[in-house]
Amino acid sequence: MINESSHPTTFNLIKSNLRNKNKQIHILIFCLSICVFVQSLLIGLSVGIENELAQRPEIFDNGVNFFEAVGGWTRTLFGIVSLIIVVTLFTQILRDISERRKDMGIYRAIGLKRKHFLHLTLAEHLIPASVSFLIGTVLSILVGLIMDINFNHEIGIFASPFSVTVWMLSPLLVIFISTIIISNITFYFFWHLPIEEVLKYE
Amino acid sequence: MNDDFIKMVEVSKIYKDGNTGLTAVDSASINIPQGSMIVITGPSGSGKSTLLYLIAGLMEPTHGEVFVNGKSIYKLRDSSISRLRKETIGFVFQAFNLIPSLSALENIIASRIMDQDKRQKKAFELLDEMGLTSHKDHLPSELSGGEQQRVAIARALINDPDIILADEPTGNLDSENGEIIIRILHELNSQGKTIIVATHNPELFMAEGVQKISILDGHIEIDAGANVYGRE
Ligand SMILES: Nc1ncnc2c1ncn2[C@@H]1O[C@H](COP(=O)(O)OP(=O)(O)OP(=O)(O)O)[C@@H](O)[C@H]1O
Ligand SMILES: [Mg+2]
Repeated sequence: MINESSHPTTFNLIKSNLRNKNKQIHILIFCLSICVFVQSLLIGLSVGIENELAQRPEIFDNGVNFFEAVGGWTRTLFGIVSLIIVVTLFTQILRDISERRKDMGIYRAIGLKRKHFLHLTLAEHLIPASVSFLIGTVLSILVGLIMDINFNHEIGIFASPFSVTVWMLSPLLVIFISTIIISNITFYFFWHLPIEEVLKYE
Repeated sequence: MNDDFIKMVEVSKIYKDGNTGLTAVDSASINIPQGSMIVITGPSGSGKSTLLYLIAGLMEPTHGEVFVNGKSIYKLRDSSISRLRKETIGFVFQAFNLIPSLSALENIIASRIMDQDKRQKKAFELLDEMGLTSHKDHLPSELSGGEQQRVAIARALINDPDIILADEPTGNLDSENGEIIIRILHELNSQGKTIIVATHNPELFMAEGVQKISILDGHIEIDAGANVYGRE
C-alpha cells in the first residue's frame, strides 16, 4: 500500500493541516447539512401540502387545520434552528482561529506569501464546505425526484421535483457562501497577526 | 564575498512590558560577511533569540535598520520579506515551532505547501541525514524533543538557504546527535553558507574560523580579532 503522506501533494498537506483541530468543523458542517436537509424536507412537505390544500381543499376534509398548523410550526422551527446553526458555525470558527493562531504564525515565519496564505485558508474551509454542499445537493435532488414519483401522480403534493430541491438547496447555499465569507475573515485575521505571537516568550 | 552581507545599524528591540519597556537588544551594530560562521553566546535572557529574530526578518526592531544583502529588510514589501524568510533564511527555533497536525515529513516541506515543487527528494535526503527516515510519518507529539529538534533543522534547510540561523540547535540533543548537527553546520559553512548559532555551549561549535559574539543584557561584544566588526 502506498502511504499517501509519503508523497505529499498540496491537497494532502491541506488535509493534514485540518487533521486535528478542524475535524470538528468537518463534522459540524456535515451535521449542519443534514440538519438543514431535514428541515428543508419538512418545509418542502408543508409547502406542498399547502399548495395542494389551496387547489383541492376537499381531499383533506377535516385535516385542513392540522396541516396549516404543521406548516406554520415547521417554518418557525426552521428559523430558530437556522439561527442556531449560524451562531454555532461562527463560534466554532472563531475558536478554530484562536487555536490555530500559532500554526498560522509559523507558516508566516517560514515564508508563506500573502497569496498562498489566502489560498490555504480558502481551501481549508472550502473543501469541507464543498463536500457537504455536494452531498446535500445530491440528497435533495434524489428526494425531490422520489417524492415526485411517489406522490405527484397520486395526490399531487408537489408541483415539480424542483420545488423541493430548491427549498433544500437554498439553505445549503447560504452555508456555502457564509463559509467563503468566514474563510476571508479568517485570512485577514491571520494575516494581520504579528509573527511575534509565535515567538512569544514563555 | 560580500563583507556587509548582514548588517545591523543601531538596532534596538524594546519589549513592551506593562508600562515599562524591556530592552532586549540595545543599539547593536554588527556587520557579518557572507560565509561566516558565528556563535552568539550569553546567559539566559541576555537577548540571543531576540537578536536572531531581528536578523531573520521575524521581528521589527524598535529602532535601527537591518540589512540583508544590501536591502533594508523591514522596508520590503510583504511578498519580498516572505521570500526572504522562505528562500534566503533558514531558522531553527529554540522551541522548534513545528506544526502539530503535520507529520515530520510534512513539517519539513511546510513552507512549500502551496508550491508545485515540494522538494520531496531533498526532504528525504534530510530525513536520512538526520536519522529520521523511520519517523517521517510521526506527528510532533509522537517525537522526542531531540527528534523534533532535528525535524526543525531539516525544515530550515529544505530551501537551501544562504543564511542559517539556529537558536540552541543542540539544546535537546545527546552528544552523539549534537555532533551530527554541528558537523552538518560546519559542512554547510564550508559550502559558503552564512551560519549564526545562538548557544549556551559555544565551545561545542568552536573551530577554525568560527567567531564568537557575546551578549549581556542586550549589549553586544565582539571578540577581538574577529572578522565580524561592530561600528562606533
Ligand atoms: N515577547 C516578549 N515580551 C516581553 N519580553 C520578552 C519577550 N521575549 C523576550 N523577552 C525578554 O527579553 C529578554 C531577552 O530574551 P531572549 O529570548 O532574547 O533571551 P535569550 O538570550 O534567548 O535567552 P535564553 O538563553 O533563555 O533562550 C529576556 O529578558 C526576556 O524576558
Ligand atoms: Mg533564546
